[in-house]
Amino acid sequence: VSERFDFVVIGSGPAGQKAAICAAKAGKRALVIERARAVGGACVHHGTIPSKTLRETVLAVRGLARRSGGAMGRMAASSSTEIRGLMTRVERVIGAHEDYIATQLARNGVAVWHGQARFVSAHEIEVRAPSGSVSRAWGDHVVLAVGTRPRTPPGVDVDHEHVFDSDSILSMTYLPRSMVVLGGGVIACEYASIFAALGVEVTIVDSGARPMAFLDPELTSGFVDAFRAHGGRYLASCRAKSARHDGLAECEIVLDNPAGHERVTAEKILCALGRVANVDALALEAAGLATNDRGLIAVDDEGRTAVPHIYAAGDVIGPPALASAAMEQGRHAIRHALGLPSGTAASVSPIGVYTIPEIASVGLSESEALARFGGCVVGRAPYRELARAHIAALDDGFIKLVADPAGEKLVGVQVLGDGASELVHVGQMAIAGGLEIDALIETSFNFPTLAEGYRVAALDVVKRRP
Amino acid sequence: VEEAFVSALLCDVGTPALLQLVSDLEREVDRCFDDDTIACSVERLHSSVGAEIARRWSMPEPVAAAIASHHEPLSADGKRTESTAVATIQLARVLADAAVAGEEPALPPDALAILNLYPDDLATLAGRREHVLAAIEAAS
Repeated sequence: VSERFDFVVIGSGPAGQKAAICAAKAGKRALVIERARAVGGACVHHGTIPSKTLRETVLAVRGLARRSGGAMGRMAASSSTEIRGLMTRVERVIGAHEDYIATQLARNGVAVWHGQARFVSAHEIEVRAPSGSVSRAWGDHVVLAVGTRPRTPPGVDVDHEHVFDSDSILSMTYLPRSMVVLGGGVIACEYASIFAALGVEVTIVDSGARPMAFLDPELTSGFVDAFRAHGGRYLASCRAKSARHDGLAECEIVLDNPAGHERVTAEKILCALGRVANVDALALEAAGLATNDRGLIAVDDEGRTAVPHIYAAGDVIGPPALASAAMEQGRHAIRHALGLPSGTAASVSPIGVYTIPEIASVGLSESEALARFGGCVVGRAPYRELARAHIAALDDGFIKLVADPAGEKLVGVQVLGDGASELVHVGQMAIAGGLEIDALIETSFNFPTLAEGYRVAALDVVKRRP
Repeated sequence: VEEAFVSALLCDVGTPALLQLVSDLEREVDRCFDDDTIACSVERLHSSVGAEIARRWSMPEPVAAAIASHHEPLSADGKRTESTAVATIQLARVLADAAVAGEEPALPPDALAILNLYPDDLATLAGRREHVLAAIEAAS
């Protein structure tokens, strides 16, 4: 006999958590099914939380060295540096996050079942625990938030010892002398810049003409410049034909680029060439579902799959595959299922990329504004014009505001540099609130702060008004 | 993978070191200890001696910690990386022993719980039996 729920959510990553809590807060009976031992998904256990913990250590040491003129905090990383030694707090950080998510689910009365989910029908799901015991749940609505796992393309021999994927890279014991990162997406660039900042000779091999192509070109060229300044090598329009350990001392990557074949060697390889949906064990066909040609679950604007009472949210539906977007997608799916409005602010979701330097964006980019309005006015505040950036020894970075063709209404913000992922929220609120550029000029910002850059950039917009 | 492999490879490294010590002692005092006493001492001390050897060889601390507790009962509340490494060693030992003996392994439930292994994961591991035996054959 199946236990009946209003909402059955499969997966407890950012999308699943927020979907279940949203349902519970609306007074509905919600169940979360999680395959792993603890809640949180890849975000907590393999990706966002662990990598940002390592990055925070790197930034702190680097910041100390910069601010003390090199007298303190000089990074002395070498090939005998243990990765785990650089992120000793990670277990505590992950544990705290797991506890907080579990407590939040329990506080809201969300049931959590530990096991592997499999559709029996479009409403009924069998849950098999690791012990082999089987339970069944019936959901009036179902939310698929099962996330993704790294994709291993043909020719890349991922052994998790010499050739890693993005889920296993932080299990590497020692910091390598050199590393080739395959891919030019967010995960590839984040890890590439973290390891480059640690003194590893990093080469990014990207099949595209520029990394993270969904971002404003000024942001990506700023990232590439900073990456190269740290000693990184960026190879554009280049594919890895094969990548494997030679069985002795090094990894060999054969590149297929416009100039012909090139052989590159490195101590380690990180393969970050996309991710595939975790749907293999779900028996989607029993629910009348299938993956699309990219191996993902296709949804409409409301997050509905081809089966109307089954929604999907988070990485399993594809880009932007960010935790913040996943949370919003989870909430939106539930609100749509309940016939509740999502609110207009939800449409202005920021993008945060935790590279070094950090990248953030919200609203329209310059090219998107040009395409939509036929013109736009752009204003910039380079960090070198901000007192706080000088005090904190932040060399590169900028805030870029994109306004409508009249230069009056703020439609987009891009930020590169330290604090970008926090700074972008000022722009997000301004866009969501429909603020005019003049409001940013009339606003008094704390001095010295990086946020003061909004005023500087707004003045630049005014200067360029037609 | 690297740490799990090294931990499992070296988990009993304290045993030969202790046997050498016993042999040296026997020579020094010119008498033989009885086999049961030696076996009992080695069983009791090889984990802590092995961990100390790993530390002196500048092995990563998680490897030394896993060697130190590779015979300890597992606790799901323990330190995550340590308990995962110990569970891996314990499960690997059971699977390897069973593969060599040609028997069905008596799977340790605590280790399975910590590693969160499902029946299909275990079936995949069981499918590696011939590969493991071939590796043992090649190494011997």
